[in-house]
Amino acid sequence: MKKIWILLLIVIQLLILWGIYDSTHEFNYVTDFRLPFFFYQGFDLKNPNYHEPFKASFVKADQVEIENFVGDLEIEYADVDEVIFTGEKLLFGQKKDLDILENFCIEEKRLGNKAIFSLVKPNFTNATTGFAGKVIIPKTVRNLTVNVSIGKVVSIDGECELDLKADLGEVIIKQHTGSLSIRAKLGAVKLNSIKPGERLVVRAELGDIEYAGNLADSSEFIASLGSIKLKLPPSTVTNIEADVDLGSFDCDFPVSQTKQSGLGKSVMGVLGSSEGTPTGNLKIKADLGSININKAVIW
Amino acid sequence: MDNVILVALIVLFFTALGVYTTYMEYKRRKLYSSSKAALTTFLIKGVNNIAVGLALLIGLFTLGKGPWLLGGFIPLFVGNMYLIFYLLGRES
Repeated sequence: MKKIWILLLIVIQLLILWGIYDSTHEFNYVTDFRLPFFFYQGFDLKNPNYHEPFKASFVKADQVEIENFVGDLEIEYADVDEVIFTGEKLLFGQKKDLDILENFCIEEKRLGNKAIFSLVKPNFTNATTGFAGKVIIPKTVRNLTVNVSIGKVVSIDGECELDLKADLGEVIIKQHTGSLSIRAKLGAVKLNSIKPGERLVVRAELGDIEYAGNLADSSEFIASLGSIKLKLPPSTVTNIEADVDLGSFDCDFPVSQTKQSGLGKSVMGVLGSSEGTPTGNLKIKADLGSININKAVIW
Repeated sequence: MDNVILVALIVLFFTALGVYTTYMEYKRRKLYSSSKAALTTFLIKGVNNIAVGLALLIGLFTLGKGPWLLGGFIPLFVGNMYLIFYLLGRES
């Protein structure tokens, strides 16, 4: 009988180990991130207390800024003459705050040829409003600035200069042509099939950075806690300046100079074939995570 | 793959450390009391840890799945180890 008990306890022990592994491995801070109720005035982004369909459109401008939004945004680019917001308006609050949802609107400000859209937030209550859905941007927009406090941002098929700031949420950008500046505080950054212009800046404080595409004339990837994974065309030749404090540095490309210093590693020189001429500057820094640079032919 | 090996090594290290410290504590207790009384302490500690771990696990699970569950899993793991040790001691 005792042997059965011992066996049972060992099985439970293994189940606990599996539970520890399962609750921590590949934990995506964005898709699975449910905020504890005592943070952020008690709301869970995926389950708003109240939500209703919402649609609004505004006259287009050369430069568009989306400011301080709360909610998951999907940015699309189309041949339209208006900036269109279509999705749901959200309320994180109590029933007594339903008036706020009724009066929810997106405020528009014009500064020359720049249009700034922001959520009008009530300041007399703890309730918070948000918008989740699609934002359709005219293809003629040259500069797009997006600032999302809480929520995931997805941008597909853009052809403009994009400046994106996400405090708490994942950033996914696919098939983008034009300069990029991404700053993510807590979420991961995933960039796929990117053809940047002159400038490419990606900073993530807590999440990983995954990038697949060409490099810009000046490219910068900085991750404080996460790892950096780059997939670059095999023909890439660029000046590189990379620093890893604790993680590893793995690279498919030949690198001219590598220096080991304590636990960290610094790379400074030319990345790619020594016969080619460097076409730009690449700066990578990972404080705790690793850096992986791979060759990929996917675009 | 490297990460899996690293995690396995860390878990093995702490398991070995747990077994070693538990055994040393058992030996120390045996100096002052009978081995049955010494083993009973492990039963009490084991049940205590399991109860705390289970309560924390249930409470933390309301926040969803995530690393915070470690707060419940770790006492549960420690308590279970105490119980295994208690049963092994009685067996011998």
